[in-house]
Amino acid sequence: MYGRYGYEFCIEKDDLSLCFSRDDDFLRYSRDLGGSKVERVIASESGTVIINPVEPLNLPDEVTRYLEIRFEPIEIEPGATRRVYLTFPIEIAVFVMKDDAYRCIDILSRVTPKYSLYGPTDSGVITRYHYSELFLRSPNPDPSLYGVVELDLMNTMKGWVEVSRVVFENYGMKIYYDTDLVSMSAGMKIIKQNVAYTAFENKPLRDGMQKSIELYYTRTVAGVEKPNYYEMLEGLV
Amino acid sequence: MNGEEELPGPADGSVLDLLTRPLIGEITTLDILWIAIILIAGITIAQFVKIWLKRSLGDKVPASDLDLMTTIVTYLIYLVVILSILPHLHFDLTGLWVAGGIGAVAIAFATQNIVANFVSGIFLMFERPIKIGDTVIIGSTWATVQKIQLMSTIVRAFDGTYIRMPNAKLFTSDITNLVIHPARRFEYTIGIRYQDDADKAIRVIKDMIEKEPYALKSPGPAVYVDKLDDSSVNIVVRIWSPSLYWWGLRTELLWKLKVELEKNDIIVPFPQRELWFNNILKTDMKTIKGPPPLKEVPLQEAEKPDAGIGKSKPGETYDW
Repeated sequence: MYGRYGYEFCIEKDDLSLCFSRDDDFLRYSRDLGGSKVERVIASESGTVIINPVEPLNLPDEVTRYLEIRFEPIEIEPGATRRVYLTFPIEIAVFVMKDDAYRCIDILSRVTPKYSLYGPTDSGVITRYHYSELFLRSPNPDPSLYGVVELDLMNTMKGWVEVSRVVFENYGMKIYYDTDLVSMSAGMKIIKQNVAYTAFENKPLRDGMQKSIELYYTRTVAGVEKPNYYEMLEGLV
Repeated sequence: MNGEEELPGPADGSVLDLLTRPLIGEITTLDILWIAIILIAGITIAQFVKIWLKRSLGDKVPASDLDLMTTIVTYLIYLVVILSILPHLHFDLTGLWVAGGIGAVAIAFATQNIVANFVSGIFLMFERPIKIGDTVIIGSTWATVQKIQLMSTIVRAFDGTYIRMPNAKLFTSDITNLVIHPARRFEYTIGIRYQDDADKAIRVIKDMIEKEPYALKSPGPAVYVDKLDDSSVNIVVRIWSPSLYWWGLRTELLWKLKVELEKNDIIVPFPQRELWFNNILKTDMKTIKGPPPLKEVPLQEAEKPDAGIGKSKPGETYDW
């Protein structure tokens, strides 16, 4: 269902129905997902519709810019780097584009959102919560429900470390998609028993994947290679 | 030379002589140098402080207030510069200090409220117990902060009214900020009947909370039987929620819980009291559906006065 479309089309998948249709000089957008309906009237002669997964931080409201993924605890030996795979919830954005200008007209998700608190109640941050199984090889979840995070865990310490969660900041979240898979690549560098840096890498999980339009733009200055990172100060377990 | 002390003259030629030689009245070259140094230093410090204030307070203080603040601070620095220059101009400051002192006392009395508000405003801006958009309780006023100024703070009460609060009053009031922390907790007490299954009720409540996005996963909710009350078994439900969304969740979730409990045949009871009578007749109260029927008692004839055997009165005889 992801991709680029002209102005008149319909998508129907399970409980999702999404249509663009002509109504005189206007374009009418209607979407029904499990009884939740959205309609929009768009004044546009010609253009492109883009449907792609976006950062899962928009529904039911933009409460937070942090995504927290909890998983089965994993023990990492000193100085080791291990690659694991996790799932993350999908939110799907519908954009209309004319020339180089695009506008998001709808965001939908088939996963019920849940929020959590990372850190103490006075100084922590609200996060979008997701529990994932820990995979050693890339899983193949339904791309309309879940994506896959390829996560490199780097233990830079001289002792063993237990990790059971990772917290990402939305800035620099690079999502790639094709017909079968939605993916992100990320790293987690553990520098103390309770402190780690997390960041995204700008690369697809496999060749030929399309890059999603980002709702949150990266803060890096163009040409500067230093990636954005989030400092997990409130623990790894 | 008639015993008179010879004044130093240009003929001496030393640098010290040149610097201490009066040029205008008693003002020497050294004085002029000092004045120049003080002026340059003062102007530089004033500019530095102005830039520093704008950089450090630019995102905390409205532009108009910041302009006023920088102007006042700049003038204070210039005042210090002028007072530092005056001795080098050989002014007698004694009278000025006396007049200034009296004036300062008078001005201080006249403007103590203004100064108190101003100083409180400065402290509020640095301490930052509130910021624009926060929901707060100040004293007994529930409101949303709209503007924090140097002299006063503007809040909008929950009924939409505009309140201007002097900063001195705000600073000395109890301030409760409802949204300064990312999460906060609320609580329900839900009563169920004695014959209902409390474990099942707790399970239903937890399932409902799990479906709510704004009921935080961590810290998780607490649901437990808290009290065996007169009319109900009371279950306490404690939920953490993002501070900005807790009111919406609190107002919506309670009714959803009630409906869901009833779907599962768990009823929130009315206040009720069961009375047991200590009935000596051992009447089965459950079989009584209405008032008992009136029992007809047959009319008994009164005994004839002469038919009975009465007790003989003294001296009476009966004929058998």
